[in-house]
This record gives sequence, structure tokens and C-alpha cells, in this order.
Amino acid sequence: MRVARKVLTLLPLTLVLGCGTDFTPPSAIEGLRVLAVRQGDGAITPGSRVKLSMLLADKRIIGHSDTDPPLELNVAWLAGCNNPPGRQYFACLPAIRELAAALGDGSAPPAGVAGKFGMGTDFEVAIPEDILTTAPLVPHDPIHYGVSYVFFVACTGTPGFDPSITEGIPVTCTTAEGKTVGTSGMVVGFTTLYTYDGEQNTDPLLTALDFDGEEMPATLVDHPATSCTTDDDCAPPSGTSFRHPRRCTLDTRTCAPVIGACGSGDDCPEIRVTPRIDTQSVERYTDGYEVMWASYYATSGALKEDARLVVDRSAGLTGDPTTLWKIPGTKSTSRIWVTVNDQRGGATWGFFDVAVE
Amino acid sequence: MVLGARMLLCLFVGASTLVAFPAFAEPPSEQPSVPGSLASSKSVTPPELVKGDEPEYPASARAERSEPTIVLSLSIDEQGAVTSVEVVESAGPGFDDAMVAVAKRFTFKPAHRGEKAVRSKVLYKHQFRAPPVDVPPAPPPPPKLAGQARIAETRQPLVGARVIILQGERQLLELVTDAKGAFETSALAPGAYVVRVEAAGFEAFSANEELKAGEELGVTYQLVAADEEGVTTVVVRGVRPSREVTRRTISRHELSRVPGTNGDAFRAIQNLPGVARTPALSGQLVVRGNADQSTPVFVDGLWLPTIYHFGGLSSVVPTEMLDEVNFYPGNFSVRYGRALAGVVDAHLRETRADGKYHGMGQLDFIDARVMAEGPIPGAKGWNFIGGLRRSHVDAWLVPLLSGNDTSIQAAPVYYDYQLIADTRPTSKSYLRIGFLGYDDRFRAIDATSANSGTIEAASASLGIGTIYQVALSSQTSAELTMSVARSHQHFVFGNVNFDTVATGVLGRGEISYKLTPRSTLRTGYDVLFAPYTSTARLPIAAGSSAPDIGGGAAVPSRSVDHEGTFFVPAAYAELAMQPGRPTQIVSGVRVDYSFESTRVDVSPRMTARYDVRPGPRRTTLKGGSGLFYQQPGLLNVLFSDDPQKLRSPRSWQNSLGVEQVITDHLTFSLEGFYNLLDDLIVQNVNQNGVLEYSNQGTGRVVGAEVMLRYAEDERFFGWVSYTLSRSERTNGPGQSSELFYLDQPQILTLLGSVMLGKGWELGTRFRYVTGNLYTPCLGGIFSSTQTSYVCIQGPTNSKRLPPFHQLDVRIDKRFRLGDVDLGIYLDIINVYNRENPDVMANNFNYTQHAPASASFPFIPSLGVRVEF
Repeated sequence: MRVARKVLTLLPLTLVLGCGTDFTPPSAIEGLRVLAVRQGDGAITPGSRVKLSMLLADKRIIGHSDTDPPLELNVAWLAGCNNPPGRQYFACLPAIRELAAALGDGSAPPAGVAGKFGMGTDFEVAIPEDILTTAPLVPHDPIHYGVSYVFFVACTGTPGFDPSITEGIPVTCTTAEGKTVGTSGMVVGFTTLYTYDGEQNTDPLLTALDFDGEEMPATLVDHPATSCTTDDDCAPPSGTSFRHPRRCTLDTRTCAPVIGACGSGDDCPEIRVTPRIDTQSVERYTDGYEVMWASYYATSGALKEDARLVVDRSAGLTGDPTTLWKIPGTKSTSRIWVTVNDQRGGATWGFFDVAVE
Repeated sequence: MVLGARMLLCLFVGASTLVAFPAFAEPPSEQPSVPGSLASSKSVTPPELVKGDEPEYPASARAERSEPTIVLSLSIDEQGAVTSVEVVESAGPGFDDAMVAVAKRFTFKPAHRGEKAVRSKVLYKHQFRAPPVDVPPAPPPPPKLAGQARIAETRQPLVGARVIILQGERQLLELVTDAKGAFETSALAPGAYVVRVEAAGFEAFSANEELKAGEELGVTYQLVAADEEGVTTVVVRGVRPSREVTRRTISRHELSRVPGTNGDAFRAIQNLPGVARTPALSGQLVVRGNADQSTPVFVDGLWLPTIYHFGGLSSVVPTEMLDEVNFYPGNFSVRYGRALAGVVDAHLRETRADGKYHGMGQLDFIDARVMAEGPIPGAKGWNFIGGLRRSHVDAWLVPLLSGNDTSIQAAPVYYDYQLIADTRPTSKSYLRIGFLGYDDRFRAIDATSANSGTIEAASASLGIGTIYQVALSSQTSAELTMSVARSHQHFVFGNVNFDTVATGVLGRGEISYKLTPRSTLRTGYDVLFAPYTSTARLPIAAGSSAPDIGGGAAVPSRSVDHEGTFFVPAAYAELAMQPGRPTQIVSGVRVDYSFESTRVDVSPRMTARYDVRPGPRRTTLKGGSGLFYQQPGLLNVLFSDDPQKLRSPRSWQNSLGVEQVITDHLTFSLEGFYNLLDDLIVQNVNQNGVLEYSNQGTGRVVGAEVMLRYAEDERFFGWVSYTLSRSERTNGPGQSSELFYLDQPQILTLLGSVMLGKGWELGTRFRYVTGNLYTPCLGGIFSSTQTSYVCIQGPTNSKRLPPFHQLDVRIDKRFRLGDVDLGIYLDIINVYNRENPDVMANNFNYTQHAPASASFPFIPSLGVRVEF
């Protein structure tokens, strides 16, 4: 009852009074960010191998052409924590600290940590055979499950062990020039893998991204956007036209709609951004729906919402998950990402570029 | 030669005197000269008294105290012994014998002729001195009876009342109270009396008083207004001896006028010492550093599970229905239980029973309410009071939420309704039956965040209750209270869901028996019986001392579907004694039994008060100590794998203080408290790696409260309250102590309301509170499953926000339009619009933080009220 009362009482507070802070919204990409980790296409079962794929957002790519030197970017994975005490991530930290120590200064892959360490945006992790039998039977769990935590460090340099860090993961990021990268260029995080006893989770299915009501040549999971070399590669099929003309961006080599820059002022137009989600991927429980939400990110402009609920636990589909993107004031290429997650770790994503001129 | 001899004689006399009485401070007796006894030649040395006792003053002469002189002729031999004593001049009967007896034992240095000791004869004169008189102790001054008669309802002096003093059936004295309601007399002898106070329009009041020699007895009598028929009524809420260390009472008028509360009765309690400031609309009641829900709220002794609509907007019982609210911050009577900290007991008011119909209507920015009161047609002696209230928050909240792209499916509305009927079946009994109910509903779907979704709140309760009070005899009274209520609590917030339906029976009964004029025994029972069904789906917890794990739908849930019964009967006994007039000791024991956990909790408690200086300006020392238990809550029962193993959290409360009545209206109180908590229910990971509830938590709260209060009179009421305290918790063995999350070391409140005349009333309230604690975030770690960062916490509750301070002002204007009173008020919250920080807000990845406010901004609340 106490939790209920607290939630009830905080409700009008959050809705009416607000917090009154001016922090940068999470939808604004201003450096390196990890937007999502996809947990493979297959089922997560005892003894299975799960392929983890990471979606990174790196603002440095904007304005970076393929003739420029490659951007320094590394991702390290630290795995091997299964069914920790209390089933919480922080109980893994002592073991992860030991794993991190094996990183050393990052100049060479750590030794003796087979299966627990990897580099790159993809990583394969083994689920132990006894993940369910060693998981405690907890009263009031709706379903018995085992939990595995995989930690990662993504940075615009080389990750290395830093014993002076006592809280969290003791890793820092250092550029080739030896400079330490700050929080804008490094993300430390973890992904949680649930092995359910007798149930599997299905990832959300994102079929397309619409911009101003028109389907974009977006990159989707397992469906990269067609690259281009000239504007002609982006012309509409014969006999058709695009709502916004498209051209080939020099920095991302993708076809992007062209939008005029807004200039100064707050009255910049807003354009609809809509993820099209296959409703067949919406899963149901006996007492409701699996929650699903879409998160939005952009390297410029402003998004009206950082996220929208796609499927509510009680009500199901909430309607149109469209958000609004306010056109930026200056000329640039802008990348817009949409990720769609469900509450059991399922994820999918897509992104496209907009040429602001 | 004769002269020379006489000179020698004088010398002899003087010398003998000095020698004869070396140890006495009395004036020396004289040794008269005896002609012819002296040595006739210069070689004769007269005898010299060496040792002699003072004669005893005859007892027979003590009363007369005469001081006669006796002259003896003493014959002295060669050894200096007295051989014969002859009375030459008698001093009178008794004196002669006394003197002769001691003279015979005189020892002289014998007379000498040359070197040879010779026999001699001397005259010896002695004046008797009367012994000092034993002054008997002065008789003690007569006892003084001094007192004041007041009107119970308003505490105003009762002028012109007759004060009749009887002994047995015999009237000894009659006094009349003066312009201040005061009376006094010193004309009574020590003893036992009956003091009876009579005044037209008031119930006669009698008291047994005992007067002691040399003492002043100060008394204050409160008389209750009689109804029109002059029927004697049971004093339902008269002044009673204290059963607790501290009771703070706020009257209805004060409740309705505290600035910044919109006249809400229970929000006014936050202004009393020992009560923490909680965020606006939180609905929490945090007393003496204890968690919310450790201080239950009762209405006429029956537990009120839900105090506010929607958690904090407005109380479910309108202020107009209440007579007063009593707040016990701790060390309260065994009458109350299932509380770890304090108790709030509000009393519904009686109907006016003046044979007239009355009505009231009020409209403010939150709700509209109407009330009616009067006699029930066709039911002689019965009166009713009924009320209905409906919110209109939806009128402004819906457009606001819709503007935020939130779909409102059921606008937030609350109702509450009351219908009460009461009567006085006999001159010594009172009966009330009432219906009380409320209904809150709200439903919306907020799709603008990943963590919201369906927001649904429904809370409803409907109950019927009755209270019966009766004076069975001059020594015995009884009170029975019972209610039956059905309650439904339902809320949904995205992935979180909670639904409970309960049908509760609450019963309470108490018999009070006056064993002697100075001792009263009270016994009673207090039963809660509530079958319930409950379903819940809540996110898993990380543990009581665990780091943050973030939120959102991706945090796994635990769910429960449970039927059970809360059956908690309790019985208590309490003995109140006044060994002496200035001393009162109340000791009691309460036994609670929980059928859910099959446990017995025994709570012995004791309080004492001692009037160091009795009288109207009394100085009272007070103190108390006792055990207090609170049974595990619903969530503990629902989500524990074995609720029976959970014990009731316990508090050992200790307090010591002083009260000083400065004037009729002004009192000062200072109280220190020291509470130890144990068996607190916490969640820790057990040896199997599973989070479980256990009684491993402990705590300690220490502090002091000061209050200077001006009790309301026809012009003013107000108080200054200050609390200094520290509250700590430990969440398990081996874990370090941390400050309680709502530890507020300093709380200062100054408030007052003054009648300016011509219907104007102005009230202000200023509060200063130490800033809230928060746990700093040292950084963030990204959870891809939750698509958000999780705070990497520093030491728990190790930082403090800037302090809170706020000024609220209330202005009332009353117009009298014939028989109708029209009132307009403006209650301005946060006059200087301070953005008080309530929480430390962080940006999405915990690289930035800034204080954020959850308190009200400047809000002027206008209200209009009509009543007749």
C-alpha cells in the first residue's frame, strides 16, 4: 500500500508541477552513445550462444567523409556473470572488476578470459547449461528465470583498466594521442539476458521509418540502407516523386531528404517521424501485453519526445507512435535514430539521414 | 578598717561568683555578704566556691515564670564541704528545696586563717531564672483554594458563575467568579470538600477537592453549555486527565485558518513540533523521524486507512465535520496501538442541537462542498449533519494534461459524503450513527514516456459507524465504537498494478472506573477484522541498502494474488493515579495479537506528570517510557515467502519534558525524546542469493521539541514550534548506520492568525526546514535493456539540499447579511515564490545534476463560503 500511495501521490506532482530543470534531453546526440543492444535472433535457452549486436550513435560521423582518417572507436565486452546474488547487476561488479583488470592498458587483448571478453560491436556470449537450475526459485516470480549480465565499454579511443576507479566499472578510455576521453566519448553499460523457463521473447519488428508521412531509405536491423555516390542514385522511381527531394550526403553516403534550415527563432517547423511496427510482434501475457516503447535520437534539431509508449501493459497498442522533429536552424546532415524495445530485452532499430540546407 | 573589709567582701563576692559558676552563661548568682562571717583579720581567707550546680527550676513554677531570690546560710568545714544549709530568705515553695538540694553538694575551698583551713559560714544568695519558653510552631496558614471557571468550548472565562463549597451535604461557602472567571478563598479549614460550579446556560460541574494546611490548590473548571432543555449532557470531550506525555489539540477554528493548508484539517498537523515537512501532495505523515504510516490516523478512535484524496489534495473528512484534532507525537496511551511513532485522533463534532436548520456552501479552486444540519423531522431528540463534496480539479487538470498529449479517459474527480445523526437517549448518554464515504477516480493514458502508459487510480470506501457513550454511575463510564466499511484501492501506473478490496470491521470499547477519588482504572479492547483480496504487480526491489537499479517496465516484476484476513484484536488496561494532587502517574499495558503472524505483542507503558508549581500558572514536569509495536504491513505480507516469520517492528520510546503555563492562553513546552527502533522490516539478500524480508533493521531517533503556543481567544491564535532531531537507520547486522531519508534536523514554524476587526482576519505562516537528504550519483551506467542510465550511488543519504523556507498568507473577510454569514478567503501559498528544492535531479547519464522543486509555486487560492 505504501508503494501505491507513493506512486499515486507523485503522479499529480509529475504531471502538474514538473521538475523545472534544463538538462540536455537524452534524445540529443552530442558525442558517442550506445542506443541499443540486440540479443540475437535465436532463443535464449540454457547452453545456447547469444549474438549481441550494439547500435552506436556517434556524432563525429556527421561531417566526416570517407576520405578522412577513420574515426577511433572501440567496444569491449566483459561477460561471465550469471545469477548473481539478488539477481542485480551490481553484484557482478567484483567479478567484472577482475575481468577489467585483465584489460591492462588496452594495448593487447586480455589473456585467460576466453568466452568472457570480446571486442567490436558484435559479441557472442554463452549461456550456461545450468542457468535455470542454479537460479534461485523466488516466490512471486511470474515465471522462473535465470539472468546473465554482459558489460561493455564503448569509447572513442582504447579502453583500459583504471584501478583508481572504485565505483562501477574501472575502465577509462584513452586516445591514440594518449588523451583521456571524457563521458561524451565513452559509455559504460550492461545488457541483461533473461533465460525464461519455457518461454521465449520475440524482438519487436520494425518494418519502416516514415519521415513526414513518407517511407525513408532507412537502415534497419539486418537491412542496411542502400549507399549512394551521386544524387542520381537517390532519384525517385520513374513516374513518382518524393515529398522532399533527396540527395546523396557526402559524409554518410546515404540518400537523405532535403529540408531547408529553419534559421534562428523558436518557431521552426516540426516534421513527423513515425516508426512502423509490425503489430504481430506485440506479445501478450495472461494478464496484459508486453510493454514496448520507441526511443528517438537525433544529432541536430530537437525531438518533441525522447520516447513514446507503443504498447501499454493494460491497454495494448497506444496508437500512433509518431513524434515530431523540429528542423535545425543551420545547414548540416542530421541523423535520426529510432529504437524499439520490449520489456524482456528485445530490441530493434532503424535510422536515416536528413540533409538540412 | 570596716571599709577595707567591705571592699574585700565585695572583691570576695565578685571573685566567688566568677569561680563558683565557670560553666554557666547565666548571669552569675550573687553571693551576698554575711555580717560577722568574714574573717576578722587580714590573715583570714574566706571560703571560695569551687564546684556548684545550678538548681533546677521547679516545674510547678514554669507556668508563672517567676524569678525569686533565695538567701542561704552555708556552714563549711575545713575540707570545704557544706555541713549545713539554712534558708535565710525563702524564694518560695519548690525553689527552696531545689536550692538547698544543690547547695548541700557545693564544694568550697575552705576558709584559711593563715595557712590553716578553718570552718566558716557564708551567706549564699541566688536568683532563679525562668527557663526559655518552648515556642510552639506557628500554626500553618489556612489552605487557599484558587481557581478559574471557563467555558469548555471556547476556553473563555465564565464570569458570574456561582462556586458553592460543600462538606457532605452542608453548604459552607458560596463565591462568585469575577471578570476573569476567577475565584478564591482562604476561609476553609484543611479537609475534603465538594466544589460545585453553577452558571445559567451551562451544565453544573462538581469536583471533589482536598485542601491541605499551608497549601494552595489551583483548579480550573470547564463548563459545558447545556442544551435548550437544560438536560444534563455527558461531557463527551471535556477536560480529562492526561493519559499521555504530550497531546497537542487543534480546534476546528484553528484547523480552518492555518495559512497554506486551504483549511485542510490533517495538513495543519504538519505545523506541529515533531512533524517533518513532506513534499506537497505526498500525503505523508512523518513524525519524530519515523517512516510514513508509522503514525496512523483515527477518527473517534477508529482507524482511517486513507487520509487524503489522490494522496494529498484534500482530506477525505472535511474540516467542517470535525470538532478538533488531537495529535500525540509519542508515548501515548495504551488505548492506541499498531503505531510505531505517534497517533492522530480526530473527533467528529456533535450536532448543534439548537432546534434550527443550518447550511453551508463553499467553493474554492479544488472542490465545492455543501453541508446541512438540524433536527430530524419526526425523530424527537435526533439531529443530523450531512455533507457532500466534489472536486473540480478536472476542470483545469484535464486541459493541462491534454496539452501534454495525454489521453484522459476519466477525469480526476473525487467525492466524499457524510451523513451523521446523533441523540442523547438519556441525560447521561450519547449516541451517534454515521455514514462516511469517499470515491476518487482518475484514468489516463500517457504515451509520452516509456515508463508511464495507463495511469489509473480508484479509491473508494463506504462505511457505517456508531459511537455510544454513557455515564453508568458517578464512578463508571463506558464508550463503545464500531464501524463496518468496504474499501477498494486500485491503481495502475504502466507496468505497476495494485488492487485490494477489503471489508473491515473495527471495534473499540472502553470502561472507565473511578476506584478512588484519585485513581481510575480503564480497560478496553480494540479490534480490527478485515478479510481482503489483493492482487499486485510491482517491480522487484534491490534491497534496503542496495544501489539504484533504475526503473521502467524492463525491471522484472513480482506478482501476487492473495486472499487473507487481517485480524488483530487487542486488549488493554490502564491505571491513572494521583498519589498527591500535583502528581499523576498513568501506567498501562496493551496486548495485541495478530492472526496473520500468530504473534503476541505486549506493550507496557507509563507516563507521569508532576506539578512542580501547581495552580493556574503551573509548572509541570512530564515524562514517559513505553513499548510500541506495529504489525507488518500489507506489502510485507503479500511479498514475503513466509509472513508468519515476520515480527512486529518495535519502538521503545522515552521522553522527558516540562510545561509552563505563562498566562491563561500562553503556554510553553519543552520535550526531549529518545526512541530506539528494532525489528524493522528490511529486505536483504539471504544466503541463497534471494532477496527476502526480515526483521533485521534497527534505528534510533533523538531530539527535542519546543512549542510556545497562544491558545485561541476571540482575537488571536498562534504558535512557534521548533524541532531539533536526528534519525538513523541500520538495515542489517554489520551494515553501517545511515540517516533516515526524511531526517530533518531543524524544523521551525511560526504561525498566527489575528482578527483585525470588521470581519477581517489575517494569518501568516513561515516555515524553515533543513534541506532534504539525497544520495549523490557519482556517475551513470547504461542499461541497454532499460534504455536508460542507472545511477552509480555514493554513500546513502550523505548529502543535503539547500534548506526549505516558505511564507504563506491567508486573508479572510466575513460579512454578516442578516442570518447569513458570507466569507471570502484568499490563501496564498509561497508568497515570495521560492523554488524550494525537494530532490536532486540528474540528467539522463548522471553527468549533471541540479536541485529540483516538487513544492508548490506561488498559488493564490480563492474561496467563497456561505453559511447560516
